[in-house]
Amino acid sequence: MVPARIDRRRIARGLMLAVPLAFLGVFFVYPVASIVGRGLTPDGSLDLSPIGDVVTDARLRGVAWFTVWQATVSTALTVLVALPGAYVFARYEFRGKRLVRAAVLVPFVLPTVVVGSAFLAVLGESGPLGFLGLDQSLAAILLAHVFFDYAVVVLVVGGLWAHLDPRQEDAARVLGAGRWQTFRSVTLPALQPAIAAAAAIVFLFTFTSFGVILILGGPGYSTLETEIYRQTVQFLDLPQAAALSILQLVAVIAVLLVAGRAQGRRAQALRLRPRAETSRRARTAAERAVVGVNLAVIAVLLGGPIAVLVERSFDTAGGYSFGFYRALSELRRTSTVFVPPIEAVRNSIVFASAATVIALVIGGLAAFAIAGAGRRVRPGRGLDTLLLLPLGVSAVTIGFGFLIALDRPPFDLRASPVLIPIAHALVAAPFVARVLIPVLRSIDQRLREAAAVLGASPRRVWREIDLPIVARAVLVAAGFAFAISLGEFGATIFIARPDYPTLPVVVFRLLGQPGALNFGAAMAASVILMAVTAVAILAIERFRFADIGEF
Amino acid sequence: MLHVEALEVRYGDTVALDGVDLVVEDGEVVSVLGPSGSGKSTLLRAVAGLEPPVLGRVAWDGDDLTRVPPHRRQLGLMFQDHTLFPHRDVLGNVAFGLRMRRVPAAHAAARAAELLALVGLAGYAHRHVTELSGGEQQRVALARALAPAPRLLMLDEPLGSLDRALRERLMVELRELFTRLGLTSLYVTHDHDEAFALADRVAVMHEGRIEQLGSPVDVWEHPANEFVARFLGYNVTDALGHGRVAVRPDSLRIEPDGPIAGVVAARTFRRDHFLLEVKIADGPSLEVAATGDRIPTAGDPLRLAVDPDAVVPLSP
Repeated sequence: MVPARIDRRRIARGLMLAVPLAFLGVFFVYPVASIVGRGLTPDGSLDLSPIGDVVTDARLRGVAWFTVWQATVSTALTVLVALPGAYVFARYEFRGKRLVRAAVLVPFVLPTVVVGSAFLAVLGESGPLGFLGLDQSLAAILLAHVFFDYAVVVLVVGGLWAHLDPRQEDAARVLGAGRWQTFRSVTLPALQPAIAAAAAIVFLFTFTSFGVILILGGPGYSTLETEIYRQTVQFLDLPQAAALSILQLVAVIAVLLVAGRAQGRRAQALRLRPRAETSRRARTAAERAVVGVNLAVIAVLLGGPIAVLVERSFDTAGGYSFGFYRALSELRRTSTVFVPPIEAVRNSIVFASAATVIALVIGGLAAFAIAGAGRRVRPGRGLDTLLLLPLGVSAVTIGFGFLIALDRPPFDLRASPVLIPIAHALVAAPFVARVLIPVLRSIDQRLREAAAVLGASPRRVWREIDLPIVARAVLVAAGFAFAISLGEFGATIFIARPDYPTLPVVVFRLLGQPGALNFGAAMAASVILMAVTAVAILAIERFRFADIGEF
Repeated sequence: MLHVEALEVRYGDTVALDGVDLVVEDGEVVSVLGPSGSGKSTLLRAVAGLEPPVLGRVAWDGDDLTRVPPHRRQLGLMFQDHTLFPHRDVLGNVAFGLRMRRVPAAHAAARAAELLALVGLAGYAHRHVTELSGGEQQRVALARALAPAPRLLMLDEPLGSLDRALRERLMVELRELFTRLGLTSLYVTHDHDEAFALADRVAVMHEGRIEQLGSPVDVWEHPANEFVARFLGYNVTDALGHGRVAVRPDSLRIEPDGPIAGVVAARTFRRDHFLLEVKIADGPSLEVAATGDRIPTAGDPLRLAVDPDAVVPLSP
């Protein structure tokens, strides 16, 4: 004899799940399945030759090798450069620390095309470091990746480091260990799970890096991502592109599994301390030097490219002026951009708003369904994983999948600009869910029971308890989704119609055009994109970054 | 009037409530006393509608509530750790139940202020609940549970997390409040003093069953079985020559020519008496409450006498 309300609750949960599952089914599983179908059955019958071609073709083998190689080196470099930064943020207090920490996060949320433009501005022929000849070089790609992912290591490793009990290090020192020995035998083992988790995330990001490589690598360097794009757009070889996508999918899933294991090991028993007890002002000259050097690295590596980008956007032939910005509304009917680029600002904001709403609904419903399953019914990890998969699967795969799957019945949406916010929401929804789930799980079930006994119906409980408590997290998630959509490039480049370009697409197209005016206009468009993103991120920062959920 | 009939609740294979029958008359305070894990909190949760029973019935004045969801039962429940809503101020918490019943805001605010005054927190309406002390949070939780005038107020170890002095003061205040408002109440606790001080009747629970139900005096003087006797601090022994009996430590006297010989094994100071653990020659230990000038110490031999009226025979 089970009361009817249990059934109703189960039905409500099922309905909550149905929406995100249907969304993922149509816009993720179906396109990915279409890619696999295209790759394995190019002529209607099973044919493994495109896959075979990828494996045997020396050039494509080189592409695959380079993809792994650059991701490995980028990850190692990022960890090496950012680890001292994580240490400084975890262990020292200094003036303006909050501001610097917020500034460190900016590159991470910057659109990839902005990062590409900024490094072009610095390393390009006419840039301040142009004499080094690093334009279209491996070094440019690696530097940009470090710039991009510095924040990941500082957040993930620094987050744990700040809570490690410094007295364990003190104990080692008292027992006769030197500084280096203490670090190696006490601190490093404690940090190892966080370092592994951060490295896995950075590896995933750099493995699927697209905009940076397309802009900075030129034709000389290509990864699986850029190769899928080129095979599709330039050579129209869809079976080949599909085969590359399958390879990419398999590799990404393998990386996700390894990353999952690395994170699983994080749950080891450590004596953690409140942040406030573990950091202090630098006292000795050596300590001050450590803090100073790291702040200088942050200023030059992270601040430098952004500053040069802004400077170049004003540096017209006739001196500093708004000339390039004015050009954005005048350049018209170039070969690839059919509307004045300034219209892309409006498009980007409209698409990002729509994508944010969709991502909040999809990610929010999924989060409520996963977290609200009650105390005794632990949800299977299956749904969690399915929901988070688009996060790992590259944006290029999503864009390519849309291109080949949604251009004919039953889902003939090719001509519709609605595909853009849907693709963006697909990338952003897992972030939304990941921000909301821990907050929802932290709500004491007895608060809901107390409200019920006081007369609140289940729907009322949701509105009175769950919703107000997660409201702040919802705002943070919305800011994230908005920023992700603004900067999304990999999927958008496949599906953006020429008459509805987004800002990143405009930047990329302008960079592809010859002439100083187009280059300057690309810089100006990048600065506008960065400014809009910064506003969204500042809104997040107001709700304190430290409180957001797991990555 | 609350009727609980043959109520059974299971968590998987564990039986948390095993056929509980209980009646709470209007205006009566019934205390549910038992060790942790005895099912007393589950009983409250089942009455509130938070645990679905596999068998049995909960009814109020003849209306079957068993399938009524918690928000329509018009009962009040005060949780063990107060569970105030952290995103609402004191007024928002106290007025919550009134809002759920669609009481107009002005009326709700007035009623909430009235209840805050009743629990001694007048003027706290706009304080943040996280700024309050443990005792203050407890009072707010009580005001919140009382505000919608529930027909039955259930309290789950309401004083459990407070320090001793505060607990004793709030116990007196609660007793006053129960009498003044004529509340019908179910009061769960593991503390005898609380149960006996507050309740008209006491239900002693063990392993999901009510072992004994009666007035505090009746339960205290005539424990129904070995479990209740031990739980209330009785010695349970066969060594007195009356079969299996229960006897309180203060009913055993030290007398030079008493019939029972023993040796003091340990001595503990207990404010108004010493508690002696006395090893009996051919049996287990007995606890003896000793007062006076000459308290034997560990190792001393002694003889004990017992008042025959204080011996409670236990059915085998």
